[in-house]
Amino acid sequence: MQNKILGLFAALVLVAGCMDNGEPYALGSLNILTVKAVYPDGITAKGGATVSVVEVSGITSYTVSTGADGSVVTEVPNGIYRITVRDRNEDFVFNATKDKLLISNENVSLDMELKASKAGAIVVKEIYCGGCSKAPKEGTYQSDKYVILHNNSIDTEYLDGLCMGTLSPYNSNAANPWVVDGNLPDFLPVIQAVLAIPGKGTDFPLEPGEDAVIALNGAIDHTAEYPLSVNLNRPDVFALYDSVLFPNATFHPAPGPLVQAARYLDIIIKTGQANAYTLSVNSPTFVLFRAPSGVNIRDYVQLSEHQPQVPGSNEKVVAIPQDWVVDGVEVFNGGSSGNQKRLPATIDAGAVSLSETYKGRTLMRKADESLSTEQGFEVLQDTNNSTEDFYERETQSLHQ
Amino acid sequence: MKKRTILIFLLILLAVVSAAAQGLEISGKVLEAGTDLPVPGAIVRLDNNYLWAVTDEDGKFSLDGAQKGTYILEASCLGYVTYSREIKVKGDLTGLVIRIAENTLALKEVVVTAETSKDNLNTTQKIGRTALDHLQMSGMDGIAALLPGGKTINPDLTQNNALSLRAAGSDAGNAAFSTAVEVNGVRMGDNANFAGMAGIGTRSISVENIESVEVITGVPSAEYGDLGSGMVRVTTKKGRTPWNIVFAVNPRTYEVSASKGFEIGKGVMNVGLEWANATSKLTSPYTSYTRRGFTLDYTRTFAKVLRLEAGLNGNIGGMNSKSDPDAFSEAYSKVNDNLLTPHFKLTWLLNKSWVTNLTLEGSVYFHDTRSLDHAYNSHAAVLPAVHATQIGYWMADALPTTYYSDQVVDSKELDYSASLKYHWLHHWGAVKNVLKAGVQWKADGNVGRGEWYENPALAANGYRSRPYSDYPYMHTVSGFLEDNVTIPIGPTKLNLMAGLRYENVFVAGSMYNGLNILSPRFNAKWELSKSVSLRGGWGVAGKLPSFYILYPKPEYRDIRTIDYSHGTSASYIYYTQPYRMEYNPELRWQRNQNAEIGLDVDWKGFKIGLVGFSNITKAPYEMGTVYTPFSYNIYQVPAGYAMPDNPQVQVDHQTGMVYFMDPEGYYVPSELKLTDRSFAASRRQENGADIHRYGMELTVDFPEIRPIKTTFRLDAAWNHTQYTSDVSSNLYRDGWSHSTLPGRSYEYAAVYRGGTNVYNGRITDNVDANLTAITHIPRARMVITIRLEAALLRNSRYTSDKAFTVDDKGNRTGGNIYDGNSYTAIYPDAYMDLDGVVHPWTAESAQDPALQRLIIRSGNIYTFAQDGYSPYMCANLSVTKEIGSHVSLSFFANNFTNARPMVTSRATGVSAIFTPNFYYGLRCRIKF
Repeated sequence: MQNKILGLFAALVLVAGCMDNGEPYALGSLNILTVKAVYPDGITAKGGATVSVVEVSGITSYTVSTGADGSVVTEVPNGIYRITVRDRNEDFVFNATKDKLLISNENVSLDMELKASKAGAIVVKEIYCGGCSKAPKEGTYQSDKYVILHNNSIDTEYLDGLCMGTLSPYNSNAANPWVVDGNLPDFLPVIQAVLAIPGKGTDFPLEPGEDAVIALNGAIDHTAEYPLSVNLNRPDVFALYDSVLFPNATFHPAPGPLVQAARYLDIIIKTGQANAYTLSVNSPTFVLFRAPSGVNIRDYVQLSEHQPQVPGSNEKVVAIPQDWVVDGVEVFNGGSSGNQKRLPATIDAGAVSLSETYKGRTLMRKADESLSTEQGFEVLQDTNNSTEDFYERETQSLHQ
Repeated sequence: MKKRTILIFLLILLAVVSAAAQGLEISGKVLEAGTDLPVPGAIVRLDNNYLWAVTDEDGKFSLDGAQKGTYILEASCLGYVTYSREIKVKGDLTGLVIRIAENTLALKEVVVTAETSKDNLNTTQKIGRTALDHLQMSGMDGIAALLPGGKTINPDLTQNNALSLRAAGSDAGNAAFSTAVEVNGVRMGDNANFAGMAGIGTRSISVENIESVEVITGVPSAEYGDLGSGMVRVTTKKGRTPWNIVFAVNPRTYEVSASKGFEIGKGVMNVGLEWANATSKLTSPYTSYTRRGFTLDYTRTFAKVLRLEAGLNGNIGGMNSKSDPDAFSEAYSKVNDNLLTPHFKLTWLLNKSWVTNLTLEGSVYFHDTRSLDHAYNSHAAVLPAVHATQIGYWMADALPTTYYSDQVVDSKELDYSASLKYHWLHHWGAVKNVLKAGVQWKADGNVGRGEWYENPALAANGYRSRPYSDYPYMHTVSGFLEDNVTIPIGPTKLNLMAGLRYENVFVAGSMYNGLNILSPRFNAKWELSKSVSLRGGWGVAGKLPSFYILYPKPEYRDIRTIDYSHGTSASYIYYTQPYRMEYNPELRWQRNQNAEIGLDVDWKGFKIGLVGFSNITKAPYEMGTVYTPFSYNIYQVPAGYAMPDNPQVQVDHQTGMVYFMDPEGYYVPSELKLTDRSFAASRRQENGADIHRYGMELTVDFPEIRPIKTTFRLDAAWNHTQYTSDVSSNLYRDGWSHSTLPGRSYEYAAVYRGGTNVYNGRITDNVDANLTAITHIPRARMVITIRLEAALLRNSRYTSDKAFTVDDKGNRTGGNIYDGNSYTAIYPDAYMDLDGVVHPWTAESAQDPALQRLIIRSGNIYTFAQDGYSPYMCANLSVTKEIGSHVSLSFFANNFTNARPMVTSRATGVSAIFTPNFYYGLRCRIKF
């Protein structure tokens, strides 16, 4: 009798053990995925566009090219995919992205509408947001975040008035409250503050191939205490330093002696209430933009129709039109499979992943070796797709 | 002076005492059932506290001077089941034999649930030792599960939960803060707490040393003050007992305790010691709570008429996170939870024609909650730490780059209380009258050193020390008068009670000195027959303010005005706008207006209690904020000034101008960058919106189902809570930028009626029901209870009388906010500009881009949607088995089926689990 009860109990335990929710999709046979690249009006498909099919957990990824008719057929197992198509001609780069495409026991046919965009003159060369270790002291550090801009054109560019910001939501693995029916809004929700390079128009020239360093937190020599960090106490740095709006001295200490007061960033508007500027440590989106001539950015941001409220939150953001964007980079959290795009394909069709935080790792744009040789200065790759254009580097480029 | 007055009063009382009142004698002896051995030290009472006597070595007692009448005769002794019956006294009653049975599971009747008290006119639940043992509570917060509709929480001493009664899980109206807890008559003090009004945590009370708990949720007697929604009275073990050794364990907690009641001379000394250690996470045992509870209670009766109860209860323990390898090395935090409550009670049985008993009570309550945070700090640069307390511009102290800091919050509440109570019982024919009166003095204060850093130079930026002992004591003098009359009307009996309590607060040097409140209280009970009675009550109870309200935390506004690096260091100058103590001349006492009506039926084995209640918390204390505009200057280092490694500077404290010495020895002034204007916040005491609570409570005990030796108990509660706030809130968004001027602060502060959310009210309804099956097998000396706990209804909705619907762009759409399909918003009622002028909000304001930012829009479209959850339930199992008369084993398994249903919010669609985790524990008690 006891044995029977034990047996029954064991059976129940077994049944309970098997009563799992199971996988959201089971591995089955391969599905046929047809991707057709649809070009903007006036541009005819010539074939050879790169189609990348990436399973979001990173298990499988394919790269194929379209045929002469602009389409390609491939076989993929069940999964959730991010599909990007990119191409370029002499004038434009073309990009299209489809995020979170569920393929489960069915053949899928996709028309990908390519958006044309121009390669920019000023591009983001490096984003260092992940922080580093305080070694040999204990702890981790992230008040040393910086971004490097680069003049990728053959002309002198002026940084004066160039605006920048980070988008809502701060982190790529957070639910994106702006997505409605799978679509991003037609504006960029710049959260917290709109920052700008100061100057009257020609104060800050950037020669072809030159870099400009922007210290988003402390413009000091961080290596004095933390040898794995970087020295941002330098005369050419643009520093975010405003003791009225960002008074937190841990994140915004008094700039180092070499930093010039003329290079403090302007704050066009601050809609957030934090006392320090926040750039996600693991997955920010960073955008550079400029108001078109005739639009005063300070007046523009004040209007309440340009200050939408983050759905699900009380915080307001500034809505920046997409065509104002000079360059934008999407960073994904390498430790998450729930990353969601915040930038449209015209700005950044892909994303670069930051695999680890607080390890001094940084995200760098690749150099275009052939163009650099041809032009005689460092030319960076710019296909408006950071999956292609960027790579993750072990240490900050400014680390010495 | 006060002392002398009291002495004279006592002497006069003594002088007036005349010869003993003529009366009848009731005498007999108390024997142990079964053995017929005498029970010494048992207390025999007539009508609770009227006439009383303590049995001698032979178990004999004698109550002299009783009047003719009907009484409840009660005999009780620790470890025995209390004997109680009604007797009619017409002449002398001698040779009474009362047999009381030892409290074991071998008895026919055992109570492992809360019992509705029959003696009280209001709703009072009594929880005895057997129930506490059987449910294996390690903290007092567990008793909430025994109240109608209550829910079990897994024991966790790392949480310091406060009790709140009839609050349905909502702390609106400071429900926990206004729940009074008394241990042996000593009020657990929380009034001298500077940190908040979360209510008094109960984990320092050793449950093992408790004999019984009384929970008063109805209109309390006028004897009790400084409370709101209810009161919990704890009595520790008093009387001769054998050794009781208890070992208890559950995954997070270990407990060991020992207690005994010794005979010392003609008195009895109860000693109880308990050690408990609890960790919050199994994976990290480094953060733990330790309790070393002790009780020392001495009882003795002198000359048969003077009974002394004196004791010392306390705890030495606290939270400690020392040596956690997951934290920074050497960093730790430690919070004391040391408690000491010496107290005495002297009851003098005079039994005269004008007085029955006089009671003198005194107590001291000392609670040390000192906390120490030994923290690791490391920064990349020299950082500022401003600690100025005067208005003006000051050079901030420089913090080192890497250091350990020791932040201390030394709070030591030390309260004193003394009271004298008069008690007189008299019969006029069949009418019985009990008159009670008393005066009480209570002093609440904090003798802690307050908030400080062990090394003031390492205090965090903006930190100001705050010595608690500088704040004066709050003295309360109160008096009460209460009459309780029982009138037989034919076969029925009417019992009426009316009381009045007056409390006056004295706080030296405070603007709130002299706050007072008069609280009338009425209760009535009509016994229609032996099995049916009706009762009802209405009363007001006032809650004293706490030091959190009386003495708001000083808040300074510190603004960086200029800073500069030099060499490897940096200097910072701050403008400090000091705190201004606000006074609200309209501040009132928070008070509760309680009413209830109940029906009790005891018929054919059914015991039914049904009570409807209304509980209105009026003018609950809350902290508000007022804003005052001010201006300050921002400077920059003069252009071209070559900063030396150690610059000589002078700061003009009035203007903020900094003068830098140049190599020639001349001072160069800093350059004015801009003058900014902003608002400084000061906290102000306020009264919030009235909270209306009403509901019903039901308990049904079904007759025993003999063949399976099982009784069922159903307890259920419906709770409704509702409020609509009209109280204005001020709001300034620190950190926003000016709408037109670059680099400056936002220029408006706003006033919102009903708070700074789009809603200004909320309605919640909860229905809870529990069904307990109690199987008691006396021959096996075993009790098994299975309790099904169900949350049948969870409904809530935010309300507003001013919100309107808006579209995505913030334009008014004219929809119904309660449809829950659009965003909603509110306008401010007024706004203040930087000159301190308050402007009413107008239609034009809504069109002004600078002011539009003051419009508050909901974050979600479902803010006002009907919210709630579908029902969920789980089941708990408790087993107690006595092995012989020395060993008792208990086992519990909470949520033993591991029912963890996800229930989905109707408004948000977000799912959650509310049933507790599967949890279990074991307890072994050895008695010898």
